[in-house]
Amino acid sequence: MGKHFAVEQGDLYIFTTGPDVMLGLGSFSGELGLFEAGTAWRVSSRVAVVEDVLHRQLESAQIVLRLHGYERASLPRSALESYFVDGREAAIIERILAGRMPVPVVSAEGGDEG
Amino acid sequence: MGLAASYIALALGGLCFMYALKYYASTLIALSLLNPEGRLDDMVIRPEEPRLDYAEQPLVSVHLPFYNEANVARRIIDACVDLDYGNYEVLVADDSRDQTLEVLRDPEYRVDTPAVKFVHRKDRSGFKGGALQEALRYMHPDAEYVAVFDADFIPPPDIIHKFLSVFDRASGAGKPVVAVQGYQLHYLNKNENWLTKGVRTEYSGSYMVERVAEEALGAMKMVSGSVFMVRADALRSLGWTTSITEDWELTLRLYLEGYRVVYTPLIQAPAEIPSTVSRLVRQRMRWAEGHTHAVRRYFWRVLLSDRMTAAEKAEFLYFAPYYLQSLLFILGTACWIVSEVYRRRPPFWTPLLGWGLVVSNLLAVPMMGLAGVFLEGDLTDDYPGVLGFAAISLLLTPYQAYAALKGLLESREGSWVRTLKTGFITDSLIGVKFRSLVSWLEGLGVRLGGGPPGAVPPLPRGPVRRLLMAACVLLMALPFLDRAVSLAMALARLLLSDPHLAASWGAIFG
Repeated sequence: MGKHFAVEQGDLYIFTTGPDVMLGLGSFSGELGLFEAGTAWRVSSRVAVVEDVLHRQLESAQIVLRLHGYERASLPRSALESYFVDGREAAIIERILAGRMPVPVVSAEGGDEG
Repeated sequence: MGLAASYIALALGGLCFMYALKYYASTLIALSLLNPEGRLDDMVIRPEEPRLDYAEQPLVSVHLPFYNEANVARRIIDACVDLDYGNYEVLVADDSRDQTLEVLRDPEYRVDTPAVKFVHRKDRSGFKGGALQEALRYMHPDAEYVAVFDADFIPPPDIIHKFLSVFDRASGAGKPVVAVQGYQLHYLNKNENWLTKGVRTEYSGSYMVERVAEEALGAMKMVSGSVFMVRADALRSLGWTTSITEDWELTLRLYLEGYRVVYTPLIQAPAEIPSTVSRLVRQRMRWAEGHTHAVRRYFWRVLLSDRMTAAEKAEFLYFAPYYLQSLLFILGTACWIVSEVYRRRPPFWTPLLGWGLVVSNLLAVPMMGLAGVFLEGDLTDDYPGVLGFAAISLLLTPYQAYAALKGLLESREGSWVRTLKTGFITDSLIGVKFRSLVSWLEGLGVRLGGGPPGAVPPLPRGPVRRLLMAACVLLMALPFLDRAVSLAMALARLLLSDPHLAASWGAIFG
């Protein structure tokens, strides 16, 4: 169904839905310091959370995540937290779908080209 | 000086003797096989009891607090992932700074059934209690029970079913049951050295004798940090505190809320034993300090509580100076030796009273350990551990006394010093152990399984059991034996000196 990440209030949320499997945390180098001793982090089969991510960490993490096919999503923190706690993906899928705006269709007749 | 020392010796010896009497009485209760009121029935698990279907299973959240557990992390997580129960989650609350993190990062543990969650903190604020509070925060909202295991334990697959079974059976009468404490079977490396043998015996005495007696008498029972299941609603409501003995403080708060804790020796999770003196000393100093500190803070609240029974309060009073017992014994014995040197004694003092108090007080705890390993069927293998146990008790005395006084006098507790787990195993006899315990409970007259009463022959009393019981009675009476003999002889002389009485005596007894 999907591989996503979100940044809410300085925390990085990486999450999957449906048959998609969470990427290995080893994908992030130790130098990045995301899933290391000095950081507060959590992980389940569906959600990984890193708290208080620095800007440079986020930039590098986004590169890794996009390389693995993760898309950025915008979801309320409470929904992401609930997903980690109870693992119920129906609610999170609903929110992801609701957040996807329809892509505007530009007709041949319209626009400024003429 | 000699006379003052003799009075101090008598006071301290008498206080220690009160503890010794409790230990001997506990040993007699555990050995006696009597169960007239069926109170021990609460402890029982019925192996043939039908297990709950998944739809009926309450959600159980298994919490594992970690701090640098690289040697044992995989072992406990693997055991918890393989539990024979459907509706549960595993939540590791981790404060590690070592290779434990590699285990947590391992993709092998990204599983859904059961849901496995790792929560890593960047600091150790609140120590184990802080980590467990964090686990509560991320626990599934539908969880009805929380089971806690320390990292060096190996919970057997059926442990959740057993906990729920005891909850179910114990909840019928009396105060509401909030937690079930199982047996922390410190056994895995018992043959590593003399220390591990001694500590194994100590735990055996505590879990097979002392707590069994507490359960039988309806006294307060401790939630002991690991191998327990507690109702999630109560835990959510009360939360964990940041004490260095968070388990003892939780116990007090649960009892103050009007709940009770049930103990059963039939729920067991094996664990390892601290294998060096320094590790053991650090562990016990933490216990002594945290325990005494909590006693000081909760003392009057417990004694004035209208939600606690007299038996629970009495047990609390007994627990209060728990870690000062050895010190009192040593001080009392030293004062007694001083009085012997000066040859100054109270008028009612007899040599047997002095020696009797020393011997009776000295042997009370080892006797409990001996009875414990006997009840577990391990007497032949583990009796040398009693000597190690006695040595440990004396060895730890100054450290525990210092830590207890620190906890009593200082306004804040010290920090948590962790006990290193090595993952070293020398023994694993869980199946044998369980069978032995079933026999033991059958011997208590408790009916196990679906068979009719009396179908299972009781455990034979045997000469060793009788010997241990006789030794307990003798040691309880030892300080007063000469007075009892003198009294009997005086009575006999009185009877025989009066011809009429002597004739009556002769007629009665031929």
